[in-house]
Amino acid sequence: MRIAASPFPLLGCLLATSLGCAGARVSVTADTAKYPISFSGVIRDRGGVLHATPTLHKVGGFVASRTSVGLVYSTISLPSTWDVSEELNRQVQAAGGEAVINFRLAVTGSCAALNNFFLLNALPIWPGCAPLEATGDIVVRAGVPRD
Amino acid sequence: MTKRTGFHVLSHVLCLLPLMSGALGCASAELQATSGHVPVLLGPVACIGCKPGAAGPAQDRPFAAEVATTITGISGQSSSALISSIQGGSFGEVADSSVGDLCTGEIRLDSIKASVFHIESFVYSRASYYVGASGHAVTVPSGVCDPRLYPSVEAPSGRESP
Repeated sequence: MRIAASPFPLLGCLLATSLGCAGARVSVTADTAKYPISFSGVIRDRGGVLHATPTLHKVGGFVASRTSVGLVYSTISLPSTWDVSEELNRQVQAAGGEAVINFRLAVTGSCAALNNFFLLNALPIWPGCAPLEATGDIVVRAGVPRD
Repeated sequence: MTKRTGFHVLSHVLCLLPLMSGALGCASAELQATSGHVPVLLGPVACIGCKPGAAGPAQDRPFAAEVATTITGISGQSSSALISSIQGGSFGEVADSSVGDLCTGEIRLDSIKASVFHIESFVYSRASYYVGASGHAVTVPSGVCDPRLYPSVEAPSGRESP
């Protein structure tokens, strides 16, 4: 009795079970922000009074994005930290705002093709990435003269 | 026959690549607290007109919230399962429930972490999108509610501004 040895079942099993993975991890900070940033629609003034939409006027929108690259199965991320301060300070100052409210931070799927590239993402040198997007409303207090 | 089989394996792999990527490419995870009634602050400036890094009030209790979206499925299949979750309701609701008083409480975030991770094999795929925040709830002794913001609320256990 002869047993036929074919490499293709083995190849099929390897393909079916082999894992590839890719991605990235990022810390988000605003360490040097000159303006208050709130994830909610509420912010205080110096006297402790809460302000929201009726007492805040939107003067612009804040948008910033950054993509970090991950290597060695996302063990290393470059850059590993995203400080939104510089971009935020610039945009708020340009809009003449006092604060950013309704701040949102999203990690999106626009890197899926890279992270999910079958077979190649099994290689440690294959890069992954994490696309981040931050948005918010630049606001000023209504009826309050600014410095 | 052997060459044909090998070609078929390779062609199936190549044909499935776009499907695999496409099935996972539309997911995301977003951290937002627009429904919240208390400030959820990031950065060193705690209020309009305040200086960065000004000494804040004492920390009350730790706070943490996270959004995670996970897609799992059979590679190449469009019927992937989408799971999106946040612990204990929306980020804004978690923030509101973490402070003792809506007029004097607020959240100050110390750390925000975001990640994307894809695992892929020929028969299985998983994509994880994560954004998590941690910090602490604080009480601002001078905090007051503006009656215009809470017209139907009897100053939710806090003081109203004059």
